[in-house]
Amino acid sequence: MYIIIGDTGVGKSCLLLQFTDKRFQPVHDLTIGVEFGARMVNIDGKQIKLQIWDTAGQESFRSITRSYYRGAAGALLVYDITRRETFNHLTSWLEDARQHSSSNMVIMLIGNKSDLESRRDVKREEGEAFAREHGLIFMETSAKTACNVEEAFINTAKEIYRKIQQGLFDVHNEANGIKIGPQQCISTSVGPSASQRSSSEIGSNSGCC
Amino acid sequence: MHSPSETPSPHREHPAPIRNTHPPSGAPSPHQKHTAPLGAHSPYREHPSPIGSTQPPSEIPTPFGSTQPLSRSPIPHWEHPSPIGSTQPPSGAPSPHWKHPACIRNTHSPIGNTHPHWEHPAPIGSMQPHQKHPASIRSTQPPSRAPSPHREHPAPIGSMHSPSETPIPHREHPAPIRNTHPPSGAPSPHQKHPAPIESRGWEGQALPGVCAAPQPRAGALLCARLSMTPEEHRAFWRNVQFTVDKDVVRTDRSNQFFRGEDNPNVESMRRILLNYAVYNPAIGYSQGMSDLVAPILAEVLDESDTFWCFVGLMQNTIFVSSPRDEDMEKQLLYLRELLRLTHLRFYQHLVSLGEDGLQMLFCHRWLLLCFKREFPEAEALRIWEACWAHYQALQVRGSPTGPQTRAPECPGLPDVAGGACLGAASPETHRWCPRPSMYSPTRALGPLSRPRPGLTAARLERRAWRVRSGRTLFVHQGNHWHGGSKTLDHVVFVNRVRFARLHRVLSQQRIGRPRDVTFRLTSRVNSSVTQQPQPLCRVIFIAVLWLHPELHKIS
Repeated sequence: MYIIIGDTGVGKSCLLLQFTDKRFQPVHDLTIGVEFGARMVNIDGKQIKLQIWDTAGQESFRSITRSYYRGAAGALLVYDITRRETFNHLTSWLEDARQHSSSNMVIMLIGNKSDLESRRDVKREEGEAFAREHGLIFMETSAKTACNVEEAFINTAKEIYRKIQQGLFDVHNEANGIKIGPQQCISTSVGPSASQRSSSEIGSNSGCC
Repeated sequence: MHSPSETPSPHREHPAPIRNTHPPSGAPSPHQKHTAPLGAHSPYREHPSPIGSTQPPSEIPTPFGSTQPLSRSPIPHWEHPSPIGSTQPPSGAPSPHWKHPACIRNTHSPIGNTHPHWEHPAPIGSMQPHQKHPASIRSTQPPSRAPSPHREHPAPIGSMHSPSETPIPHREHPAPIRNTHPPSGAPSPHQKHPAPIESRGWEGQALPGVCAAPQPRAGALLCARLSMTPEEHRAFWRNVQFTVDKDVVRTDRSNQFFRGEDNPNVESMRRILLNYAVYNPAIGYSQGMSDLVAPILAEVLDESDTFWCFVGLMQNTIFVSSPRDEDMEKQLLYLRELLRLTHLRFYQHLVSLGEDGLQMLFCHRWLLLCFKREFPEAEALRIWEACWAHYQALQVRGSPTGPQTRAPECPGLPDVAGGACLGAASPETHRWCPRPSMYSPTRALGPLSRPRPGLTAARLERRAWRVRSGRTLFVHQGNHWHGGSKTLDHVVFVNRVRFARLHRVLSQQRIGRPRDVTFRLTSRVNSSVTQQPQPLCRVIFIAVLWLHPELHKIS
């Protein structure tokens, strides 16, 4: 189970929509509280269902958001490369995430709106440095062009999968946000299961950036 | 009310009192042709004159409306402001404004609206130009009272505008403008304004409506607003305006009313939210408010009315839980308890899910937006209306002396807020507002039997359609608005009777626990109001109604 966090207006919902529906909707209703999306992906031949919670960015919803950290195995921490303040707030988001989630939660830092290169306000190197400093995975994405969106989600899933294999996650404890499906993974899970489909989806959009 | 300088001449057409209160109706006339339904008007004109005089916005409509030339060829006028400005050194300050016909653009072209910074300045700015244009404009509308107030504070107003002109706000205006205007009139009381306003810059919210609020606390509010430091202004921009800007374009875009680029209705919604944030800084802006204000705006159509409706709605914290966590916690707690009473099996299922299940966070949005996103718009509005109608009944019952004498200071009583929301434009509603002082005492919308001036044929048509299509509410149906013979008093009477009957039935049943009483009561009222309640609807109604503490008093 993932959770997407970040300031309001950075494109969290668009990222989710791009990932689950493969489309970009410039105008959509703002997120109130928490919304939800899901998609099956294939990692290492394992069919995995990613259940993604898309949270509202505004401060007043933080308490709601916090309730969802607990069950999350991964988090996408999103900022907007055209707005420095969203980058500046990363620290508080990170603190929140670390404080309310399990220590093993995989956090991926995402600089969204990479298509707006001309309005860039946060350098790629800064994002990389921040990620290095805090032990996060980093990527720049564009929900508009779909650039790196797949990779962002799937790389996070891979990282979680790797941690599972290393035994860092207790897959029997659902509080970790991981659930092993019966035979085929059918619910909120990142875990081993019989893979029956090809992994053609993975990386279908890769390399665009 | 008005500054002495003001000449009695204002609106020829309108009698003095009415004029004040009716700026919208009067002004729009010529105006209206150019503008989208809502866009143009300055929101809060209904406010009483005392403030009104200081408040350019209230008068804005007038100048526009009265001056034919302007309204006819507003844009050309504005486009060539420079000559005028330059020729008028004393009015020099306004010069910036001239270039920025923000207000006019706002009113006349949707494009203007898109500019984030124009909201407030616009109205004010629009006024300025007129004053500065002695010859042409004055001649056209010599009587317009507008000039008087403005003259006194040309500087302040000007300063407010300057931001709108330059995307980079704080830079230029403050100093130059003041300098140019030091002698400006007798800004005695107003002089305070200039400084803060100037410093405020474009992000600072010059909120006309707020200042205009006649309430006692309006003064304090005004002071608070004007004493904002640049830091605070920046904070306001960061915390409120920025978010509002982002959110209004993400609200109800599927609704025809808000569809399209540069839609003036979206701009109206934006102004309402910004003004509310200053009006009620404790709440400020919280995501979700735009969802609540949008249907009201689409229904009421008038920005000013919508604002006050929204104020009323926000008092009703049951629907709009304030951003504070504990409020939502409390409501979810109520809901949980309600569920335990009504659907024990489901409750037990939630228990079996563990801690998360009982948190009932899935209900968060239901409560926050009063189910607005969970139902199609028509149903959602019906729910809103039914709930509010119910409150009205409750309230009436609680006040033996009748609606007019109801204690104004019952902030927790949302009924009229609901009524105001839906029937905002009706005189009765205004008379009933929980805190009458919030509305201008002079906001006479005319005799009750008189159709509201602003009520155009199109609006009437729209409302009639709503009635026919069954979308109209309870409160509406009893209102003379639609040309029906019933008045709000009639509605109240019906409610009272209904309530008395319910109460009698319930008391005969001797239901012991207040909870049960409340529950049954609400479910009955619910079904009686909605006539054909949907199953889910009923549950929701019950849940919502339950949440209101007033219900506990019934038993």
